[in-house]
Amino acid sequence: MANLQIRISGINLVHPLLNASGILGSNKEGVNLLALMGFSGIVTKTFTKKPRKGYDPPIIIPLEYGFLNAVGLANPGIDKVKEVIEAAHEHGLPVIVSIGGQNPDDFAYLAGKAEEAGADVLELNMSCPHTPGYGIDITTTDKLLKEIASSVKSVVKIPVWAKLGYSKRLIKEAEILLSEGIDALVLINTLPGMVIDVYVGKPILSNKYGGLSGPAIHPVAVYSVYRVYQEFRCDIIGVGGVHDWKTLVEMLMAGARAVQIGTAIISFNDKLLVKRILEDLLKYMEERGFKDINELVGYALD
Amino acid sequence: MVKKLKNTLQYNAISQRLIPRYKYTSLKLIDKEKLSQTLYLMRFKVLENIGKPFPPQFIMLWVPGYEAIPMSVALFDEDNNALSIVVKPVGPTTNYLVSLEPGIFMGMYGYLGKPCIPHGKKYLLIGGGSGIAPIMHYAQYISNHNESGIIDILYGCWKYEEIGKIPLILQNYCSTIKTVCFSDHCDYQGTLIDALIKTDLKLYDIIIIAGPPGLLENALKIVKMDEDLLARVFLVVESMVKCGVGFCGECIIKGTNKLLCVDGPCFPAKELLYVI
Ligand SMILES: Cc1cc2nc3c(=O)[nH]c(=O)nc-3n(C[C@H](O)[C@H](O)[C@H](O)COP(=O)(O)OP(=O)(O)OC[C@H]3O[C@@H](n4cnc5c(N)ncnc54)[C@H](O)[C@@H]3O)c2cc1C
Ligand SMILES: Cc1cc2nc3c(=O)[nH]c(=O)nc-3n(C[C@H](O)[C@H](O)[C@H](O)COP(=O)(O)O)c2cc1C
Ligand code: FES
Repeated sequence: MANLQIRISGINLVHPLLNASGILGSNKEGVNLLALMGFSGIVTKTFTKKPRKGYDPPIIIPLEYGFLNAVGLANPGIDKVKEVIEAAHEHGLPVIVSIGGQNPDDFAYLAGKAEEAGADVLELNMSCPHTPGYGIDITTTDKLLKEIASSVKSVVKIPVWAKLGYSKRLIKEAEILLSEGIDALVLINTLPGMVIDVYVGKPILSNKYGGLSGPAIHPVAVYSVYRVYQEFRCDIIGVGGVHDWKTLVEMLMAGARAVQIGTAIISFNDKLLVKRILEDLLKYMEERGFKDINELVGYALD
Repeated sequence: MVKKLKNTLQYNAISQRLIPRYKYTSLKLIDKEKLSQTLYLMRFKVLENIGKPFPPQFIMLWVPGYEAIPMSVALFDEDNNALSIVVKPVGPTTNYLVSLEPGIFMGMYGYLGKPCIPHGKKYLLIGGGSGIAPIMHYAQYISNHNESGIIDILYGCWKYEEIGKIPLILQNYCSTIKTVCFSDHCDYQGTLIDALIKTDLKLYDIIIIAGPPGLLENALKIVKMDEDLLARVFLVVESMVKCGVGFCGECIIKGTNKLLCVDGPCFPAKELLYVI
């Protein structure tokens, strides 16, 4: 059987499939569900300094081509992250704690707390498109990006991933983060979007606009991974519309070493999704003569 | 190489399309009827074809200007793609909802939750308060799909004024309907649990109960002693539902690995023994 193990930013994963931040991952019951689905590590919901209730429903709209969501970073606050980490560790899985702050000091504080609570990796959410004061709002300048990355790197020893959305500044942002010692990039977050009910005559989400995920953004994600890998040959975790062996292989060939899955978990509600994707991946690798998943990483680049 | 490529292409064919199993659609309110002192029946035209619901599936109903709230499908008219819900106004969104008049538009996504249609010949369906909504859907579905099925219904409330027209609607879909309340006008006096104790539950292949947590908890206490009976009991559970599609974790059934919005809202009673 072909090798599916990968090593990314110094962390070993038995296979390349992780859940995406925001799907379950905010309490121990949710982590148990993710672990039972067979992911090789658990990515938590983005944790903030204080608990956040998030927006009122509707917080999600199913679309033919994905989802539009505006949850508003609902989470129980960083003081509750320990129980989430412990739940994942009970399943023997590494935990990637996603954190979201409003300034470099917040990020440094959250990073310290998460490491102390036992996180194996940090994922800096620099890209949530629908929560004012967080995500894309705090990465608007090179200076801020640099300060967030350096303040986090100066307080923790564990690997730090940074999650970006697609923008015209992607390559520049990646360059800044990597030069500040960020260990891997997670590409991409949802893209901003709005859906209007034409009979009601109003945007549907309570927040009016939200983040688009799923098949609609898959080519954007593949492009982003490809471009950043082409430029920097760095460790990348691809995310956006991965739902089967083919979308997974595309991400790997573009340069991702691991992938995260969000929308597919909630579209299919198929508890065997991970198992099925991995079985299909192995069949594809056998057919195409790949013996090791690492051979696929960046295969599509010249 | 040619052979290999061919295999791969064949394999290609089963690459899945990622289409959610539920959809968003606009709705038009076409009818509203006050059923009792506390319940309203609201009928909507579903403006897009989003498939058909199976009991006890629910929708997230978006009431513009207010919230999206979970509502059980109570009746479904396949020919007209129209669905009815039964609303008990309890807070801002439900109070505003029942104040709306036909002609107004809103939205929904669905159908959510897992269809759960246990097979049998003789059904006892028990509904308390707004829990009557999924029970209506069960009665409609079973009477349409299982012609030889016998359906007895127990419907309970605190006051006689809450019974209203529910028995009138349900009589089209069942063999018998008995009412339960603290007034002499009801068929049984007391609570649904008092009525349950007086009912010979062994007569039924399937017993489905929907209603407030207290009802489910006490019903479980009665049936849990008898393993054979327990295996025939199904509970339609309510909890907080925020996303309805399985990512927010709000509706987890504590002590289990189940999400109400994905794995429920109906569960075999034996799965909830140590939980409720
Ligand atoms: C799967 C499911 C099916 C339901 N079906 C029906 C139905 O057919 N008819 C009906 O009248 N009611 C039904 N409900 C309950 C209904 O969703 C709530 O009464 C409604 O959300 C209250 O909103 P509100 O703004 O009017 O009141 P609020 O002031 O928000 O709340 C009033 C009460 O309703 C409960 N509640 C509030 N929000 C929710 C929520 N999102 N999920 C569950 N409970 C909530 C609160 O705990 C409180 O006790 C169902 C709930 C679920 C989970
Ligand atoms: C409901 C929902 C909630 C999300 N919450 C977060 C979050 O808290 N933090 C974050 O970094 N990304 C969040 N995301 C973005 C996902 O992690 C992911 O980047 C995006 O959905 C694209 O992947 P997908 O197409 O597989 O869903 C969320 C996405 C969805 C659909
Ligand atoms: S309501 Fe969000 S997971 Fe069930």
